[in-house]
Amino acid sequence: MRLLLVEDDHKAADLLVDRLRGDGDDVAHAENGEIGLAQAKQSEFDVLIVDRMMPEMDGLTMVHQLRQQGADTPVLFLTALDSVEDRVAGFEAGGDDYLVKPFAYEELRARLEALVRRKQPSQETTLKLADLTMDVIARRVTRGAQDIALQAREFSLLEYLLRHKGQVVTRSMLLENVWHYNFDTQTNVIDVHISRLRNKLDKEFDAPLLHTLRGRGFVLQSADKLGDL
Amino acid sequence: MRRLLRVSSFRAVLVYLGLFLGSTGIVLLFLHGQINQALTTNNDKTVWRDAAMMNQSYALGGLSEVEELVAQQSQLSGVGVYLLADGLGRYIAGNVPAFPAPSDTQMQEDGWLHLRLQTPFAEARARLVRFDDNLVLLIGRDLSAQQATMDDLARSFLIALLLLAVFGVIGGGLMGRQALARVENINHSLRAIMSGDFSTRIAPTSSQDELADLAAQINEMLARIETLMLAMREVTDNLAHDLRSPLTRLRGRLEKLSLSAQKTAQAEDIEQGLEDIDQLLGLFTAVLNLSRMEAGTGDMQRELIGVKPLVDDVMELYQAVFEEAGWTIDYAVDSAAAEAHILGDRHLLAQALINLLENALIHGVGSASHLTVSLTCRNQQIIISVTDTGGGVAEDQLAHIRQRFVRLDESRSRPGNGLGLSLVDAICRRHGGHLHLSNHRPSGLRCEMCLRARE
Repeated sequence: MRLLLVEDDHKAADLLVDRLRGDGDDVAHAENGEIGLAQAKQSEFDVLIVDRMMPEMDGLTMVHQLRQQGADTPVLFLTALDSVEDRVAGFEAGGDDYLVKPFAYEELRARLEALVRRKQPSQETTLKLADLTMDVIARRVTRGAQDIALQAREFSLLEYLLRHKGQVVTRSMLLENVWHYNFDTQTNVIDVHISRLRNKLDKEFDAPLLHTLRGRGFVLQSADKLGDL
Repeated sequence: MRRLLRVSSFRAVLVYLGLFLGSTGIVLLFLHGQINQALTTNNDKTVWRDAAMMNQSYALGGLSEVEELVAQQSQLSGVGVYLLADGLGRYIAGNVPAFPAPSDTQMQEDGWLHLRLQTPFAEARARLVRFDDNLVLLIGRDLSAQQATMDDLARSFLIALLLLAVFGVIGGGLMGRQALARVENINHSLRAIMSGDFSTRIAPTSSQDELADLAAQINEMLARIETLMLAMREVTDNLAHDLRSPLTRLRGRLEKLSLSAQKTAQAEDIEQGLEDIDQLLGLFTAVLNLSRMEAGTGDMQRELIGVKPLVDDVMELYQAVFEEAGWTIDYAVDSAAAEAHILGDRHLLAQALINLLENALIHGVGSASHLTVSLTCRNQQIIISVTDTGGGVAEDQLAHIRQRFVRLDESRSRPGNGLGLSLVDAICRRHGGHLHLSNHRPSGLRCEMCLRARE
């Protein structure tokens, strides 16, 4: 991935850039909104990581101007502001995702992957992975020749996983995108729903598709392709 | 009406009206006496003139002349009372046949006689004129006409007083209602402000009176509060930024370390350090959210939310968790609540309910754990109730557990930061409601979010 990190905190930026480069990404760093805007216009990036509070030009203004100039590069806001209103302001300015500091690196990684892949059209109505097929319109799920009966929310959960197949999705991504809540819970509520879905999806089949990656999240993928993650 | 009676201006009008009517009554009474007095004086003058005329005719023509004059005067239909009599009181002429009995005769202080007479007269005011030892004239005037006039007058005065009273009460009521409406306008704005909408102002009115002054003062005060709140908001935002930035770096460093330390002895310590940071951050976020919520600076959407869908969604998310943990669940919604709406923030209310459910899950475990969630609506009050079958809370502790950082000894070993119920309480209050806690028999804690329904 080609990434641009716009962040005024040098030490935090260095750490993050190191980590991203370590994962093989091509990372540029800008230390305020103005420089970030100039760089974003100059060269092509897959995704922008923008801090919200910066001197000179803040992140909101930068992304707002970028969007006005017609750029549709996905933007992930990094922020110390976590209220609903701050979130809404971030999305209204043209942000695509929102991550509150401090964050786990894996959370950022998963969200970046999701943003970059989302650029590709995802309007398909038939989703497939190995022998698993979901007909979004008929609301029908089959594995091999067998129908799998899902409740409404299980269906949404599986749809989200299928649209992000092969990507790590985190608990908070699921809570935000499937249940539409954006606060953390104290209990393992997402794990319970994943394990119920897994029971219906994988239990009677030899090759499991829904995997838990410890400390990272969940992934829907054929077992033989898990090695890449 | 009872509310009207509580309005100070209406009460003032009533008191003033009472005083006004009382003093008017006294004035009218005085006037009544004065008019009566004037009529009497006038009568007396006529009688004196009459008597003088009689005296003159006696001096000129003696008995026959007087007798003729008396007879003549008696013929005139009028109010004159005449009795010409000899020294023994025997009738000679006049329209009164005989002297009234002593019981019907009363001597007034002013020397006049008050007489009660036979028909066609009623009462009369008269004098005795003595021409000589053998001739006496009782001369006076009948009072019934004057009395009738005075009675009419008294009746008119009473009617006037009554009309004054009626108009006064109606006028006072109207004034009171107007005052009430304006005070109600102020109250309405204040209620909105108290539930956290600090941008609300009291609508100005065209009048320039003390209520308008009061409204202007309140508005000015609100503007200052809003400025202070924005300042506090800025402080907490900056605090959040300044605290989170080093934590972000710290977390980044630890994560970097954990990469190189994989499978070594330090790995576990580093992992623990990361957990500690997350816990610290969770606590910090909770404190910040709670402070903002309590101070009313926290953001809050105000949209019309169906309560049942909101609770349904949360229950759908948590039912599985409770079932996995071996709980049985009852979830009931009464028919009034199924249609009820709340003006508020879906996220905050969901978060409050989730806090209660997680509380039950963590602290409410009993021998056979059972969760009862109910949604009821009565008299425009919505109650979302969460009851567990755990050990409950000692009665004297019930009031404390919603305070910040209060954790009962027996729960210190379980996860949590002692802010959950405080936040639920603050969220309910921001929605114009409150959190009610009680022990449930035979055992368990019942937490009720009491909220105002939107009509």
